[in-house]
Amino acid sequence: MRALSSKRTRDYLGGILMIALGMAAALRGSAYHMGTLSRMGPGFFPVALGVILALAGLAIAIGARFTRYEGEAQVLPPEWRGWFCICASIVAFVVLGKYGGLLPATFAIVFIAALGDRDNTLMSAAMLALACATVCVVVFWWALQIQFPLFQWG
Amino acid sequence: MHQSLVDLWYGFGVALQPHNLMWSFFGVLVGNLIGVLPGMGALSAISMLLPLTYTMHPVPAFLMLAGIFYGSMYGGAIGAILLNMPSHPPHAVTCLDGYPMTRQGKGGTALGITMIASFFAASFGITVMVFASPLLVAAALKFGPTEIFSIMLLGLLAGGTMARGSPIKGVAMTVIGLLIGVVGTDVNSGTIRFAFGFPELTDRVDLVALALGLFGVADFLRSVNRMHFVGTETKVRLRDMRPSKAELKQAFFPMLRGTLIGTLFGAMPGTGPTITTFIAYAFERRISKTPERFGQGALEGVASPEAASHSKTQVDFIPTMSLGIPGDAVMALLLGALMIQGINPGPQLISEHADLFWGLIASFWVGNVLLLLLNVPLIGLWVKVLQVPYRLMFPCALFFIAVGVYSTNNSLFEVNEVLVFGIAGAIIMALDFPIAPILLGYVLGPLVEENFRRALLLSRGNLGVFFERPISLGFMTLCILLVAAQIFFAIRAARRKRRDTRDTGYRAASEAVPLHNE
Amino acid sequence: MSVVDDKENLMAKQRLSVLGRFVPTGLLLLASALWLPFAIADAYPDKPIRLVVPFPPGGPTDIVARPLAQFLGERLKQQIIVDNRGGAGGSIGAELVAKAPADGYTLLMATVGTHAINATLYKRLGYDPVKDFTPISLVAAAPVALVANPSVPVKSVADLIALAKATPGSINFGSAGNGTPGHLTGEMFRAATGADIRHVPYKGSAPALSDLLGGQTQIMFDPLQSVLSQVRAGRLKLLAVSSKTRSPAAPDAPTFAEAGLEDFEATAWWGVFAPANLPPAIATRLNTEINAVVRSEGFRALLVPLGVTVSGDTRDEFAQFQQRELVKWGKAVRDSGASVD
Repeated sequence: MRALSSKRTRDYLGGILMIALGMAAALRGSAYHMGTLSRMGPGFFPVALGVILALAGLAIAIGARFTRYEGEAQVLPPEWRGWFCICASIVAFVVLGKYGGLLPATFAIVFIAALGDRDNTLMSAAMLALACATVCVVVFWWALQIQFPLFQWG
Repeated sequence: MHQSLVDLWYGFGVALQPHNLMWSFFGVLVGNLIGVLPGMGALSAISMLLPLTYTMHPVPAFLMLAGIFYGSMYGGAIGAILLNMPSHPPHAVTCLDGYPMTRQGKGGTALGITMIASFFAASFGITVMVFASPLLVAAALKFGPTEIFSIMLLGLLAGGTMARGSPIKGVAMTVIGLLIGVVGTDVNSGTIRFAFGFPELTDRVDLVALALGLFGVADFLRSVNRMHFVGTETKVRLRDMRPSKAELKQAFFPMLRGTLIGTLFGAMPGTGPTITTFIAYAFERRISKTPERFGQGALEGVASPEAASHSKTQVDFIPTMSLGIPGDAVMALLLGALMIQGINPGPQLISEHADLFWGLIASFWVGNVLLLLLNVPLIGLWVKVLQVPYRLMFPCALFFIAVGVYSTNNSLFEVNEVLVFGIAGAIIMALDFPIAPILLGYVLGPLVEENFRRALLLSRGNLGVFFERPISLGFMTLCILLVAAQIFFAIRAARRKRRDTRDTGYRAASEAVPLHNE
Repeated sequence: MSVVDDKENLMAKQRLSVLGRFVPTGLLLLASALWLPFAIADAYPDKPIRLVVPFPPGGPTDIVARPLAQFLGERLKQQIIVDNRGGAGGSIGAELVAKAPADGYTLLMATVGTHAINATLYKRLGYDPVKDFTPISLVAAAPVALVANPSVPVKSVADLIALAKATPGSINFGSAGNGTPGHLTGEMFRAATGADIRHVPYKGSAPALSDLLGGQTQIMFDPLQSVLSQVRAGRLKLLAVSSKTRSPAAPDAPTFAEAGLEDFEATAWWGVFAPANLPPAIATRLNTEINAVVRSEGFRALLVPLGVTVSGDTRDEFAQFQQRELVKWGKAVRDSGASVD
């Protein structure tokens, strides 16, 4: 993360990422039928885009080499707790939604995500989750008739 | 012209009948509320209420459905400005300056300007519809695949380069958006592209998942534990909820320009409100004397795109009703609703169903008035919502996003897509790339490919066709000018920087102070 | 009564008691077994049904499907929701239904394209038009119309052929997509006349019509009902129809056969399919109701003036009809050399 403090490194990484994505797209795209310019196949456009992206990435990376950067960018310390909780909460929603139903999924996503914030206590997270669950039942399940069972087993 | 006025008067008579008025109001209200909820767009609302219309007389039915459509455009701005959550792609641009304004405590002002701009633009669009319909239809027909591709190229370049920072990064993001748009089944050949074996992806990446992942979740990832309140912690004063006279004056010309752009594009078939808002934003930034304010809370960056979007929305009804060609998915649904009632869209619609056509146009105006009256007092309410601490707000917002995305297609897979795009968006933003062009690329992707393919099919492989047809030549010239201008400004800025550094260097050397290393 | 009678009575009583015990139970079981499918069929439908239309809204398929959905919905006392899923000549929507559960709540408004043409035209199709579906009933049929933009200097099919031969590479024909009846009719026309016309596929009839009106393409082949309103408004010229006899909705337009192409005939049709292995009770119920709709005055009044002939079928007749069509169009694809890019 410290490496990201340099704008130059960020640009390098960005450029390289673009080159990689572009080449991957072009490679995958060429597996589809390309056709000719007047009768383009499904592979033509993806390959063209991939090439353009890779070239753009190259331009970014080269630009990073030659630009003068002023000052240091402000970098904030990584928020592993917050990031983990947000991602986990969405995964929980999907898993519990499939195997448990809408209500457990709702509780889980709000509860886990709220725990990502250091200022939330277990109690406040739980209360928030409960409140959202109530809103969920009233607004989404009853009023809007969402097609999602509140509880399901397996 | 006189006939149009007479017809319009008749239309008002139809629109203001209590029965029709009631359904208009209902539609507009529902649309507005739906528009605020992230993930639920006009599409889902109209699909849900469509069956209701089967038993209704066509006039109030259509009035209601149309009301849902443009009502949701008002609602969408609210989520975009206050929470950086665009529930509809055109509002993605509104986030760029609207959300920073909220963080500076001026969310209420942004909302107020949006409402006013929307109303103004919609009124203008309606007027244009009334008087210029036949002209617009004739002009629209001149746009073949070559012209549409050129417009889109201009839109993509403008959208890619409008963000702060390096324009080439913006272009890269646009291309990524285009590539994400390729995922799915190719319409022409039936080949499944980039689906990585997931059957859910054969029907393309979900738009709502993409938008909310990139804007909502990515922002949560970047703001968690770093932000305490959206906006300032000071109490919001009444004054902050209404735009001041100076701000109104500041927003006036951008609003006008946005309206014109939206109306112009409204007539062109195949272009949606998304590209219109991007071009309006890019244009404002290009002609502004202080472009660095954009992205930081520039009022013009909110007024112009919103105006463009609303005038475009209204004018969009023209090709739909008179040609039977829907401009986007919502219009297609509305068209379907017409046909269920036994009304075939086409040139004869205006004469055979005058009460429907003119009643509809009059109801647009009535509906917009209703929306204005509805939303302005509510601004205070929405702003109060922002006083909720961020640590409580983002989990709830996450929940709304998850449920909203699920409900568009009853698919949990799409909720996974939100997570993927959220993470991708956060990484991309950490590397200083702009994310709005991704959405533009995604929305335009299939259309760009389709029109490019068709243009070359018609010209039998001749790439020069883009420069041979006059309208297309015009747009391609603009594209070239845009790129040239970018290069020019970049060189000039680099040269100026070198000169400044050199001057500083001399001064520093003479004062024997060591230079900062990079 | 005699003792014999008593004994007989006793045996009869015993027999009766045996019968009395098992027969009622057996009858009850038998009745339930027979009644159950009807019960299922009667309980069906208990929620809205999705009718997938594999083309974007506004095209000829929609023109047939939407009234069908409305009238059928009234008869079934349940909403029928039209779901437009366009692309790849209808294959995308068709594949969706093929993979849907066979519970009667997802149906397909199939076309001659999806269920007779695509199988031969597309090298890789995501569904088998026979094995993956349960045929329910034919609904409607219409001829394919050849229309031209008024700026094209032709008054008849013969003029068109002459023009195409005189200026090769100048005539493009739009269609609603690869594998649609319009596409195939155009290719068959090209093969039969030697006229150099190039196929330009669109996603659905509406955009193809729009470009035709704008002059981007010169001619178009599409089922009659989607172009009729433009022809009547004078915005398009109707050059020919592909039916055996002239269409009552456009009596002035000659058939292709009359215009000089002997044996040239193509009929677009639309029918309802469900995913494979649909319970027979539900299939029969749907077939009955659809046939009733097809015979009803309201339905006919909406479609016949547009040049569409409505007719139902038994399920077996429909299945056999499809087999014949598969052969016929398969041959047409091969003979005309039509292809997907």
